Amino acid sequence: MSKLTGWLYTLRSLVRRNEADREMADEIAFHIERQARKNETLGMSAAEARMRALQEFGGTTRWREEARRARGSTPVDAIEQDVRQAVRGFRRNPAFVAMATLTLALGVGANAAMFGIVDRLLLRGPEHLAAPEQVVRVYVTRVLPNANVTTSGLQPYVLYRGVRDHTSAFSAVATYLPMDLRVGVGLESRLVHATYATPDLFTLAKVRPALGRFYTAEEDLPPRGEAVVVLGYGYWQSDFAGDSTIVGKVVTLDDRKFRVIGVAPRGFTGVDRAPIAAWLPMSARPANPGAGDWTTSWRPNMPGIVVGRLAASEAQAVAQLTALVRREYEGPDKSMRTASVRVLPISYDLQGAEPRELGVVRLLAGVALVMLLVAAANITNLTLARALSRRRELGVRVALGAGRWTLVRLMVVETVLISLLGGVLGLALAHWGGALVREALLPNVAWDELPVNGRVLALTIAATLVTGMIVGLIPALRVCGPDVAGALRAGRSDSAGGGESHGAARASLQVVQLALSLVLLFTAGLFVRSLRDIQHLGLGYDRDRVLAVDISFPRPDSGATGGVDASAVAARTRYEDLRAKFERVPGVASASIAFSSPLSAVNITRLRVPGLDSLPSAKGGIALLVAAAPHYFETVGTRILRGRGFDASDATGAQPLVVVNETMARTLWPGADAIGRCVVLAVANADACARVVGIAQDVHHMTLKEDALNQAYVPWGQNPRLLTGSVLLVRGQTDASPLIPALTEVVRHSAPSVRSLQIRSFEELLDPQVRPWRAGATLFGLFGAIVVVVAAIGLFSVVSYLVTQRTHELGVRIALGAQRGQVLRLIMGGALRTAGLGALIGAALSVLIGPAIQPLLFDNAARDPMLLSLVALGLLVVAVASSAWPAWRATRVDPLLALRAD
Amino acid sequence: MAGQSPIVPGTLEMLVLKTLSLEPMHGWGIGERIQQLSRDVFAVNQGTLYPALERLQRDGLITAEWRTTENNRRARYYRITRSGLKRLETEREEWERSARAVDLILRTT
Repeated sequence: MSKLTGWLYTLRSLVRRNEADREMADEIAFHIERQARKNETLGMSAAEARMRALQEFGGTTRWREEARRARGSTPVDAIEQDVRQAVRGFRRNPAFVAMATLTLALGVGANAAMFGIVDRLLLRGPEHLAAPEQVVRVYVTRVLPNANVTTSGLQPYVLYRGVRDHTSAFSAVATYLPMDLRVGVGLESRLVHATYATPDLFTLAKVRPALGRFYTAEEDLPPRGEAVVVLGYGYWQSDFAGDSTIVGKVVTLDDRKFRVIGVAPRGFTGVDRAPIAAWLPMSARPANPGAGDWTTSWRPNMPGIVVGRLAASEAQAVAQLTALVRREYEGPDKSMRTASVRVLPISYDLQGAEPRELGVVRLLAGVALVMLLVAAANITNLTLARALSRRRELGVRVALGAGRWTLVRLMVVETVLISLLGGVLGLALAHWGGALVREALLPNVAWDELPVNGRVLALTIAATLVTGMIVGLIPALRVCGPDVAGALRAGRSDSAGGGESHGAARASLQVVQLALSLVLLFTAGLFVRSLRDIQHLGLGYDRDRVLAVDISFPRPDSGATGGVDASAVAARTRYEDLRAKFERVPGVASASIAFSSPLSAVNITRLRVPGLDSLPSAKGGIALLVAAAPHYFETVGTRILRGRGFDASDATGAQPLVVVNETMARTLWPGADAIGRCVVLAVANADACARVVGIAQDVHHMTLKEDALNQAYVPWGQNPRLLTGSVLLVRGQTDASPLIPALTEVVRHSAPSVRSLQIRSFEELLDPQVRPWRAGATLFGLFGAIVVVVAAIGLFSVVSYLVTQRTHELGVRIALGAQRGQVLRLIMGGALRTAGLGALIGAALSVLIGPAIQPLLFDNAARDPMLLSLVALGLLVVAVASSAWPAWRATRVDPLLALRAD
Repeated sequence: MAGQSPIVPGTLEMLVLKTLSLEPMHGWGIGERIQQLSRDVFAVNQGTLYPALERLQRDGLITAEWRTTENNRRARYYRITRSGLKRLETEREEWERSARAVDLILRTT
């Protein structure tokens, strides 16, 4: 009972601490007043009476403290006192605080950033998708006649219908296809990411619309679904300002009108990760001409991605679907008769592989975790070193009556404070770093939250507090062992718990983190080399000086007089007009026009060479085709090796001409001169012979890694059929991107009726392909730098610790006449041995993991002795730098002080 | 004030309880009353009084409330509780027993 009252009383005074203090002050004031009055009645003056009263009371503050302690509010007071004391200690040793805080901030920051990404990508499924682990994508794997195995996630509609109607392994099945659609008209038009999907996708996801409704199966009846659309939440917000009366209105997508029937919930991205602006019925897709009845054909010309929610085991689903495909397939492809179906997680790509980005994310998350452990271990070392250097202070505290737990509490309060500081700084780093990882590695994911969200925050706080306690408790318990007073009296650090095994553990920790730094930096270096190789890769054109102007004009009125030819002439005139105007823009070196130019489209033509019956190898009979206007080659920067390019005289009616690339010249006329030869291209008039007038260098048409193919260039002016989809090409005198606004202005003035306009540099068009390497170089470089900083701090703290620990020994050595250089060698030698061993192990590890990194690299080998030794050397320099200061301090040990200290 | 002694160690709380068992009183008054009742033999160390009052409160032996004094000044009055009375009783018995014992020892010749 009385225990409970006491506890309640303490609790109350804790809650109302200030009030209680004020009351006590009042009470004491009253007491003094009464005593003074009594003194006055004894004949003292007022001032004297008061003075006397105060004296008798004996110092109000002291008794106030006493009374407060009696009241029982010690725990909070004690911690408050510890905090005050810790802060005072921090002021005396800002270097320690800075190092520990920074170490922890880096460790915590890296983890918080990576956790945000891992959480979104790997732990939680796409937003609004219920039980994502049950949802799988359907793949068909076939063995081709040449024994290659191919797996595809794109299936004909008929497969979807078969699965839906004739199998039972899924509780829901849907098919969908993402596609970019144009919204708006003219210069303001742009592409948005949309998805055609059957309505069962919404059923499968178990999602409800934010507004209106989703479309029904009746509205998605093949072959021609209703023109209705469900808007994506983000798009509805950004383009329609969240108009609540949007339902029933009409939006135009790719020049077709769709009636809005609803808005998808916020963040809904289906089973994929990219933000979707519009959801449309699967059967509202524009039919591919010549596709026939796409709903019953097994031909893969109107495919979709099939996903299902498993209601049975994966094996059952696979068995049912495989049987279905083999039974139902109708068509010429024999490999389909033996095809097998696979079901894979929705995070996999359409080739049935886990995307490289996820691998990188996992790797980085693992690295981050190791980094936090290393950081924690380092702070433990730092704290231990500090505790040992404070032996005397702690000893005084013990002498003054502080118990073991008081000291432990003080030290834990210190490290928790530091870790909280580090945590706050870490969150700031995570905010910035998370955004960087998203931007660099995963720009096409719908990130609906900030990098630091509630879950990240909760995890970080927990991790921070636990780390703070552990890194404080371990050294505190070591220094303040059960016989704290004795240990501190003895002074010798060995008795405070730093035996041989601990020393070995510390050294191996340093070795591990140095090895880790080396591996990360080496990997980063490999990525940087890939990136540099890519930048210096001869693609056959200049990527930073060329702009591709993708423009589309309104369709000619079919009713207009003159027919198709006249409208083609009119369209060509428009291109040529613009080209001439572009050329006059200041800063433009030249301008040209091309159909199917590099990075815009692929067109392949069959070809025949009169006099050559069998063309060498399979690839001899086809060529990539580009129709190029005058100045094309100098505009994009493709060199003509022999002969000439095209000029204005190569117009309709003149002799058909062709420029071939090196590979084509070599393939068709090995050892002979190609100039003047005749090639018949299927694209031109059937039998007209095109004369080779020039040989151009090989060009990477679409990708960074590309086998050399035959490439044939024909004059744009001679081939009126190769017109739709042409792009204008503009070469700047220097960097071309700044010309974009001027070119846009030209279009606005001279062709205000354009349907769409997009101007991008070749560099920008290549960017998605360069991204993985750039991301790898950036992220591994960043993580490597962080680990180096952490390792350097770690090494510094360990060497400092050792110096402190060996002060006595060093004093003896110096007293016995050891020279500064010898002491320096003694201390630095140890640090360098550690660093050397770390570098060696790191190098071995780097060679070992080479094969794992190899596929992530661009052509360059994962083994690079030069780079490896460079990184190792750099690490050794860091090791020397971080151990130099404590080692120098060791040489300053005053033998007298050191010996007297113990 | 000659001849004043400090209170016998360990008895302050008992004396406070005794004082409060007579009537509720504020801190200064308790000190005065102890001095008075002991015929000026005991002088209460003023500063030890308040911690003692806090301890007694914490143990639930007394309670406190703010009241106005006869001079219209706000002061904290302490009042003994039921368990305080019980404690006073046991302490008194304890004291008498040990005082008798001490007395016996001292009288032994």
